[in-house]
Amino acid sequence: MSAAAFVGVLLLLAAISSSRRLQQMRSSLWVVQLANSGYLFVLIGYLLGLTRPGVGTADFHPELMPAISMITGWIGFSVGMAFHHRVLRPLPRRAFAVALVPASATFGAVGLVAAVAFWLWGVPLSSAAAAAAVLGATAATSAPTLAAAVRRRTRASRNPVLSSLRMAEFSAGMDAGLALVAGMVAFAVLAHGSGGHNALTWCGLTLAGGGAVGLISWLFLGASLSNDERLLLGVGMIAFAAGLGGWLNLSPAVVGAVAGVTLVNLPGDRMTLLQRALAQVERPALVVLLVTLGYYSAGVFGWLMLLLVPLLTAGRAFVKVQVARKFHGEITGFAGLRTAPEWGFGLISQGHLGPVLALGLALVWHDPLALQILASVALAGVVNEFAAPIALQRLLEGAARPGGRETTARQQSGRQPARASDPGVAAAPEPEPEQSASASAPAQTPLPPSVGGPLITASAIALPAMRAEALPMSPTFDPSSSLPTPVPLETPVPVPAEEVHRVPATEAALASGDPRPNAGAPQAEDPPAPQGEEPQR
Amino acid sequence: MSDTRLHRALLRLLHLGLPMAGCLAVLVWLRHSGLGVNGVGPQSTTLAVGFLLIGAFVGGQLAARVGLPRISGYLLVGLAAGPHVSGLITTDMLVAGKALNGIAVALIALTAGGEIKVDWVKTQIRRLTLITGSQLVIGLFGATLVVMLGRSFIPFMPQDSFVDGLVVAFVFGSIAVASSPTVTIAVIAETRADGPLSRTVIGVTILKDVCVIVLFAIALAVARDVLGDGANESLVWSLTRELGGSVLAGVGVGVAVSWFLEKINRDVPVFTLAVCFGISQAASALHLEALLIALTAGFYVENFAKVDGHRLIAGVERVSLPVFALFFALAGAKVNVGKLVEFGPIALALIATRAGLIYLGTLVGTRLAQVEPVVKKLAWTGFISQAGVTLALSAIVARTFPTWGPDAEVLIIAMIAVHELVGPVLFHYGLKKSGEVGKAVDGAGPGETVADRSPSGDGLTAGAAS
Repeated sequence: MSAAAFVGVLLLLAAISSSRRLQQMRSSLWVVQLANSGYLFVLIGYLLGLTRPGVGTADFHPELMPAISMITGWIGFSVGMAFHHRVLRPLPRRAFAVALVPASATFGAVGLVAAVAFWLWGVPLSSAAAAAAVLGATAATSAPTLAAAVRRRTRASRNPVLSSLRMAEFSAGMDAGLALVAGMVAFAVLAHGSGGHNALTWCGLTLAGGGAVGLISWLFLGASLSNDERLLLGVGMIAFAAGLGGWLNLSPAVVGAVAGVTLVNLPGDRMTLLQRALAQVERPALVVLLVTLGYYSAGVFGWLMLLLVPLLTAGRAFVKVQVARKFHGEITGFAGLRTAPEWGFGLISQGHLGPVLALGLALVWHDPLALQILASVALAGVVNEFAAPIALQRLLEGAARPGGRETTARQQSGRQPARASDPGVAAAPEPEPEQSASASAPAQTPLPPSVGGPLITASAIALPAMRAEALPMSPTFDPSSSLPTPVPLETPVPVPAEEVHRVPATEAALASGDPRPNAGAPQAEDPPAPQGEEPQR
Repeated sequence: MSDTRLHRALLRLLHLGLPMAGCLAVLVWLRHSGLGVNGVGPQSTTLAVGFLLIGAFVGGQLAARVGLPRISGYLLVGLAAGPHVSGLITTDMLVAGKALNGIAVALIALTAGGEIKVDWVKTQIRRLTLITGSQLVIGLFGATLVVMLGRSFIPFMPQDSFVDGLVVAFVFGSIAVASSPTVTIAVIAETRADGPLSRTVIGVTILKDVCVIVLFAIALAVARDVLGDGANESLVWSLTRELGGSVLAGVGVGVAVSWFLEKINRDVPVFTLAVCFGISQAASALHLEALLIALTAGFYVENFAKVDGHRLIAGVERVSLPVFALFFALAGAKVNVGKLVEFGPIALALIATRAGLIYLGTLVGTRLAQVEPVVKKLAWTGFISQAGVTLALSAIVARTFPTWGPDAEVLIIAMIAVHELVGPVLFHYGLKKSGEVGKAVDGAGPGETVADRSPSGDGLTAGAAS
């Protein structure tokens, strides 16, 4: 890297970022989303990458590779830690099925098209299938952060907007599991092609290696440690897991994720403090990753990208939205939770796991094809993050339309209440975390009526949330916050007052002179919001 | 052994020994499986880094248990796992070390610069100058004299020409007076020490470091001139470029950092790491001194910026422990035990001489400065360590003087190996003896230590108090 050029670009960026024009632009939702998701750093990396010698080639800087490999393992580890059996077990199977349908369909569609394209490009079939699987997994992943930010700012605990946001958030968190499995298989196939042993053995090694690192971390964490010691240990274990993956030509992210899943599902709460310690430096790690993504994508061009970028943007969005449309409505086990047909619009934000898988592919198999995939994923990620707020606006508008208003499960279906023994219904009633969270929330930004023109609604809700200091640029997702704990339907389901009045939200709001959607209706479920902390995710 | 002690020992075995053995088993299996990259190339470096970090964690814990500074644990783990002892980590697996070294040195210097306050320097300038001056004079001339007198025992010394021998001895002497600000800062931070001893040692070490760079540049230029070795560059120009350029670059970086803290103030740890990386890269490309650039930048931010410099330090500390632990573990891994054995008797004689000269120089300086008794008695313990800068100087010697430089480098590295291991232990002992350990508290005023500013109160190398 030319040091002078590097410093020059840094100074240029500093000068640009101080301009008044840019300060004004920062008030735009697109820019805020791009910055908060971290994809702005991809653009910065892209600019820096233009200064490197050998731009556009798969010539990775050997001194940077270990750090990048470690960070990809870090993201995997963070994602893996979200899959906690204690949180996931009570959720009904139907919720999982619905959540995974858009991701599965996207994985299948994008993967198939990519596989055919790679094969026609002259890539051997097994490698084409593996690379396509990575691409499909990348397309399947979504980020829950934007939907979560907007959801936390909505006032009522039950309305169609909230249900749809919850479902989008849950789906965006769960699709990581699918992507990790696909990534594991893809890297195993590639490793089989180069180093003997069958793909199943490599899958086994991924699971065994990640599992061993998770177990070792769990044993270490049993000691009494200070926060900084936990950080040192956590970084060490993640580097070890990622190094194990890199050594075996497997995905560092997948090995890290297996370690995370193992650690979080072993007895005790040892991982909680580790998570807290790692969170201190999660953002720096992500920024380095995203800058790297842009850095190595700079100057890369191939005809294949002309297919891959539209596939990862328009194609991905189309499949997700259309499939979600087919699977909307009531979710068994969640009284009153009905998603609007537009909930798939909440899945456009790209997130970090997909790019991490693509980066892992480029690191382990640095050839022109892997580099084109990487560049396509980087470019598509920027486009997707740019489009995410617009898509979310569609969700908010669609879900808030009078025709799209939900009724409670009982009113809608007229069925008998489900029994506790029904699949997906928890044995004992528990308070809904969302309700308690709402109760403890400070005055939240109300959901304004959709009369302000495009993007104004989403901006009004999301901007304060996204600007809030507490909102992390995080790859992780907390499933416990997205869907409420299932409530058996024998439990009397409180009927929201707005359902009784059957007054469209915007009409009620306008009538009351308060722009909140439920302002005109009595807030039966919303206890007075005391001043306190932000709801815990 | 009582039940409680047995229980504790078993717990330690379960939570440190067993998982460490697990990591070791995985590493050994990978090394012998022949699978994947098989230890070659940057892919294997990540595993080495992971293993060294875990090892540093365990080593730090064990070192603390036996009353040693944690960085000794980091160093010993690196030494044990490194290519010169067990060979678990090979030289190929340490390719990332260079980039990390650059970042760590810049990070440490940035912190050290942030520690120096103009007001404090003004009040302590006499004491700092006298101690530094006496150490430099006694150390430089003493070491030069001893090397000259014993040159018949040193294989690479020119035997027939007195002037040539004197020049080589002078280069040796200028390296011998160097100490390690890195180790000093790390030990002070770890022990959360504050008081006249720690303040004086940190001030003198930093001042001496700057003087050593000047001194070394002079020695190098003189040697080049006399021996006709290496490139021809005028002394004045060389010094102006290296020192003046570094200070100017440091002021530039300081202005940029202040502007960032004032206007943006987001992602400070990311920005700090980027700045450190930029400093190490720019210094390497422009032949400047990374340590001096970062030191000046930290000093500027602390003393002349409109913003509160603590923000920078807080940003640094959030990411510092893994960087420092890895830095010291890598330094340990590079210790060449074979060379230490090869030059054993000569190295030990020179080590003892250097220690004696440091003691004498400190004693004279502290007497002249009329400092507190505790400083007079124990300050020398803080100047024994040698690390990064000295290693860099020895590499320059090897590069500049191809005829005798490589052999001199071997001897210097052998000495550094011992200083690196003994120095922190000795300074830790000195701080304990002075009663300054754990005295650092918020708002300690001028000269406050890094640990004061740690948001968690853990300091750079955490957990020392626990």
